[in-house]
Amino acid sequence: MATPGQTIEMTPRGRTIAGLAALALLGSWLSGDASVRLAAAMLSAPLLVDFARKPRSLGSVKVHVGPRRTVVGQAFRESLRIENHGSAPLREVILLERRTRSAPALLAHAAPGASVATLLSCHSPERGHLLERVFELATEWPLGLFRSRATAVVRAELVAEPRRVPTKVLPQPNVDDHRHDSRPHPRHAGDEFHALREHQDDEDARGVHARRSAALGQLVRTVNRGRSPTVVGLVLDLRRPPGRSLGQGRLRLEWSLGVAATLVDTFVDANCRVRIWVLGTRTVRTTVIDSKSHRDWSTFLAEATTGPHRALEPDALDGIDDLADCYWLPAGGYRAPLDRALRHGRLQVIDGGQA
Amino acid sequence: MNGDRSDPVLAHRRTGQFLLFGCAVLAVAALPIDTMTWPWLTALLTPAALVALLRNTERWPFWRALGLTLLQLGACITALYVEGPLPRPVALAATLLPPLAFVVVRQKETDRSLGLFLSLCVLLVGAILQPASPVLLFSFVFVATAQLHCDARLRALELCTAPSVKAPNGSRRAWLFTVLLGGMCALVVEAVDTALARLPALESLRAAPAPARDTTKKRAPGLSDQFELGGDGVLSNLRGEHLVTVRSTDRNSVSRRLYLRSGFFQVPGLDSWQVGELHRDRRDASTREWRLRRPVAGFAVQRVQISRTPSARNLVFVPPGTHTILGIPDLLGDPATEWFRQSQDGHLDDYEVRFADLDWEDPSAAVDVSWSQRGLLALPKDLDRALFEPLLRGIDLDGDAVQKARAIASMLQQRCRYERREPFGPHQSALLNFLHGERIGFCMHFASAAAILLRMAGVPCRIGVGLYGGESGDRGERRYGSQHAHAWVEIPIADRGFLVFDPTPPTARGTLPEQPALATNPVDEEPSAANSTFDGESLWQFLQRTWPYALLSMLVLLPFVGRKRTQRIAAPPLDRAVRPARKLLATMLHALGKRGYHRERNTTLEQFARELRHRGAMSPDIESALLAYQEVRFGGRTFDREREQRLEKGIAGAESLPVRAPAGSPALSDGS
Repeated sequence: MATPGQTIEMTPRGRTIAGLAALALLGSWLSGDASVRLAAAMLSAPLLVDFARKPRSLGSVKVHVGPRRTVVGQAFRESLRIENHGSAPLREVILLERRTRSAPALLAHAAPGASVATLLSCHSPERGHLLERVFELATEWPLGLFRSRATAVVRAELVAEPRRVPTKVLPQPNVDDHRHDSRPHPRHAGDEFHALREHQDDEDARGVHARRSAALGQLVRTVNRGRSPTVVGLVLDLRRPPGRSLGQGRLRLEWSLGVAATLVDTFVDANCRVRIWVLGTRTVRTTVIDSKSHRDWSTFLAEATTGPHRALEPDALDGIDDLADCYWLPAGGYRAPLDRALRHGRLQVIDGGQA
Repeated sequence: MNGDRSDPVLAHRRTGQFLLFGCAVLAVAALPIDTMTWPWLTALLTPAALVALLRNTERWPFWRALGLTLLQLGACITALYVEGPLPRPVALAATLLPPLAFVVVRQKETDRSLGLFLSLCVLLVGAILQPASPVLLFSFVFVATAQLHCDARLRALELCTAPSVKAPNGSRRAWLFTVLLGGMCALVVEAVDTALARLPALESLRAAPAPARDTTKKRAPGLSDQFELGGDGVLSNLRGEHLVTVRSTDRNSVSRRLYLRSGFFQVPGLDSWQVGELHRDRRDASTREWRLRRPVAGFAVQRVQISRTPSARNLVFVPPGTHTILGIPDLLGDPATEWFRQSQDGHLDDYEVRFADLDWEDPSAAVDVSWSQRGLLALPKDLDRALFEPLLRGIDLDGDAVQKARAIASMLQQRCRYERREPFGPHQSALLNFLHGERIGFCMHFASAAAILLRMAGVPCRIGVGLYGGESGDRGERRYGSQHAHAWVEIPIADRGFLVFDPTPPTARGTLPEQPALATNPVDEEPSAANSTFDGESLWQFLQRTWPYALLSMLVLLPFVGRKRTQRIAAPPLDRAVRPARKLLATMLHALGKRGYHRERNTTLEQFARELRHRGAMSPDIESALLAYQEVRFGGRTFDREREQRLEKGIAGAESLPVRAPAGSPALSDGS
């Protein structure tokens, strides 16, 4: 709902006319000249009419919007519903959201008590997790000399996940090596085609075989087989190097978070389980095994930020040696040579400089 | 262009153009066509309009400006040769007309505001030069309001690119609302104008000198021995002090139509009349009765008792038709011209006047032509007869004096409007501005103009000044203040003296707008500070000080001090890798320009793309090419083969567009 503080301000054109009108009024008083009086009257009349007719019910506008999950830089169209709870109709109201750099949308008319649906073309230029969304409503109707402005704060979640990086720049897990690994790997979905089967409603549509589905008249999907790792490790190190400020290294952080999101997306698509260690102000362990944990991980990435340097607890990375594939992302810029040297398994560092 | 009707932006843009054109036409129509002649109008409007029509010249602004200057110069020289020079005040409007024509025809986005402002300026100059017709003024207010409304809509439409835009339609209801807005603005203009007119003008406050400090000038409260127009007019600067009370000794109430003369002026001037030669005679202090002439037979003798306040100590008020004055021992006067005064140190006694209510239009009255040889047919030395003789057209100069006087009064009342301020206009003389300029004025202007015209028509006359109207008291008496000061024309009638012919409109005679806050007596020694809440003199002194202006300036500037300027997001520097993409983009823009779709200065690619979309010239190839460039320039993407191909396809798409006609359709304007 809009905050009650509605402001009415002058537009640049209004300020110019008001200045001229003030000068003319002063001149007419000083001189008593009828022509100057006429000028003052003609300049002040539109100001008075515009101010008198300016809509004052912008503060009683309610905006409804649903939760939104997006990726940084990705364009989306937000569907909004605007309710006019004021007693006067709203005309030519411009609606926008600065956080998502939305293109302004124009509401031509909203009668009292009416509900109007509109679409906003948005994209989130920054990563983040918002619990409230802020929309601005403004109108210069009828003469454009004053602008009536109000802010509508809506309780709606907006998650802007990190921008994904191209997968070709990422290191691929070496499947062949796994085949020769002595440790047991359960047979699971791999890269080799095995069969076709009926598609279930709750399954990811990306596995659907388009041509066969079209030929058969029902959705069928491919079943792949082969060896691939079932559990992959990922260490997201958010610690800054010793002596470095927290305000720097934004580009590296964003890129690394994008890599982390892309890797997890890739592995989840391949039905892998991803064990994650996040080394920030404290050590967090989690495992992405299903869509819910995947969403939680994406939300975590949307909120992630660097932390100060600290030494790891002795048991912080316990269990990481059991993994055949493990990736280390120095998102905070600290490459942690000692911590990595202690690991005996496959540990691959993905750094911005390598990509 | 296809889709113009359905495109709300274009529809509103065209409506705005039409309305702005209407504003300009109305503003030009307010100029006096007898001085701003058609050759001059054509010379001032045509070159700029022609250059604005040539949209291809926008790429060479210097050469365009040079060409326009030469064209304008040539046109003005031609008009000067054909029509002669413009009067100086009209030349002021002439400086505004070329830019007005230019912006009205060019119609870029910024031109809408500029054009409206220039139209207002031209209209006001026209209103200064001649009284503007109310219909014209209200039409202008109406059209200008509609233009502002349309422009506000257009800006909202241009700002919004979201697909959810539902443009305001041009329904009948919207038009009705526009009409309502125009009507409201017109009413507010009238209301503000009326309210401002009721405010006391500072000029009038300043013009009233304080008696304690005005020692160099002999001062009379509103009625003096001077009759001057165009400056601090005596009657226009009155303050409303009480001067005289008139009681009827016959126990009748005093007529409101009673004229009380205190002086007259015989020697004419355009803006300044003089009293002329007087044959003063002083009565003995012991003589308290002065008989001027015998009473006219057939007319009842009326007797009034006149009491004066100290403000009118030396003035002697007598009604026209007076034959006897009683009760002033040291009366000084000229019985022939009926001029009377009392010495300043004389007793302020009441006096009685016996007179007959004579009408000079009475058939038995005859103009005393002997006054023709005594200077009452003289005309001002600097009189331009060419300016006055046209006013006498339609008046029967062979008729009798009454007919001539009635015709002149009727003509003046139709031609000029009564307003208590000096008229403005192109002439140096206030009287000429009253007759040929703004055509407004008060009783002094009406009387002066009528007297000169009557003398030109052969009727001897002079100007009389005094009091008229007054306020009735409880016992039938009338009280007169200087707000009842009035001027009229007096015509010598044989055996009856000088009788009144009043050319001022009857409803405006001897009246002054109410000024309750100013109703203090300016000739009192010092106004009481306890009783005076608003004193013009102290206000003027206050305004003459420097610190109020300094304080006002500081208050005005205070909000701007320390205000953070909006940080502009600087575009990232042009990378070396972007250059090949930029070259291809330039080639595409060049191809588009060849087909009539020029990208204006300071127009961003997004705005240009929006304009192309409005024009229906945005093909998928061009759009893809623009996107490819933006991805490379601002998105940090590499300029790879795929994007290069998209740009090359955009060039091919631009070259395949049909050529747009350069004239007749508005140029692409920046949508900022």
